[in-house]
Amino acid sequence: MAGGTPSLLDPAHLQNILDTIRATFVGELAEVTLEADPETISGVKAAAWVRAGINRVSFGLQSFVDKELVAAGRMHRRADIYRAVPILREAGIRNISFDLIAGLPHQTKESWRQSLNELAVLAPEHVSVYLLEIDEGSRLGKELLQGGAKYSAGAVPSEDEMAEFYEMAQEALGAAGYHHYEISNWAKPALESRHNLKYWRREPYLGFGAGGAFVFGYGAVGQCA
Amino acid sequence: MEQHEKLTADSALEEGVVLGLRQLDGIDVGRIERQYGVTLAGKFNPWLWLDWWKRDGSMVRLAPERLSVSNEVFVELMR
Repeated sequence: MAGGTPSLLDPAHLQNILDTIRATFVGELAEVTLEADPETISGVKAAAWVRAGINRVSFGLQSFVDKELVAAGRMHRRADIYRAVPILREAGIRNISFDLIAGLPHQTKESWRQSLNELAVLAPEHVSVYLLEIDEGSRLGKELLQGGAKYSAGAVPSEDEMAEFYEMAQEALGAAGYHHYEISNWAKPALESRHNLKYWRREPYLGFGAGGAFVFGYGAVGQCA
Repeated sequence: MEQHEKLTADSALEEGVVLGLRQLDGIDVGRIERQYGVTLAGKFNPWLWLDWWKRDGSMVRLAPERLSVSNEVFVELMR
């Protein structure tokens, strides 16, 4: 369950969606992932998610460094991450995924090392590391294309630095016991993202909701309005 | 539904190859050829001999030292 911030939804709505899926499709819901922002987590919500059948939470952390989070326009801060993870563990979520971004404005080798080290301390079961992609339509992208410095455009690491950050992640995550199974993804043994594997193997899947996409068979793809 | 597209065999093959090569295990060329009913030789073969790739039997995967520049590799592959 992703797109926007579904963790902001009332847990009763999430329960309703999952109940509908269970009533409509035959099969076990083996991996039920909710994308969440750390600042939206509460004990009450986490307990309701587990009751609804959610067994995996994916955090778009991006960084453990507040200066980078501010520059990226994120609402959460480092302290929110340390507050949210124990709440999820206490509620019974045994599979947590962190997303980090290599190449955020103000990121340095030292700050990237800090994010990797702090991630290892919290020991999520799954990690995604994405290189910053510049969207030409974003205010940061426009500023970068014009060679300006607004929106921290002057503090975006070079492509060579991003490649070095990626290699640092490979080394650090390997040392921490993660299996590198996809260009941007690492997992503890047997905890690879099952839904993402379907995309990479180009197996059929259905997506629902605004912008939801699907692949049906080998030749047909579509997107909901 | 806003959009619906029936992919050509070539488009589906390209998607299958690029998505498959994102996995560290790589792609099984024989399986891909059976799945899509095409041969990869004419389309991709020149690239398979570059040092960008590692071959192990019918499995092909991106060379470890190319992982950090995978986007550039895939753009070249599709050229």
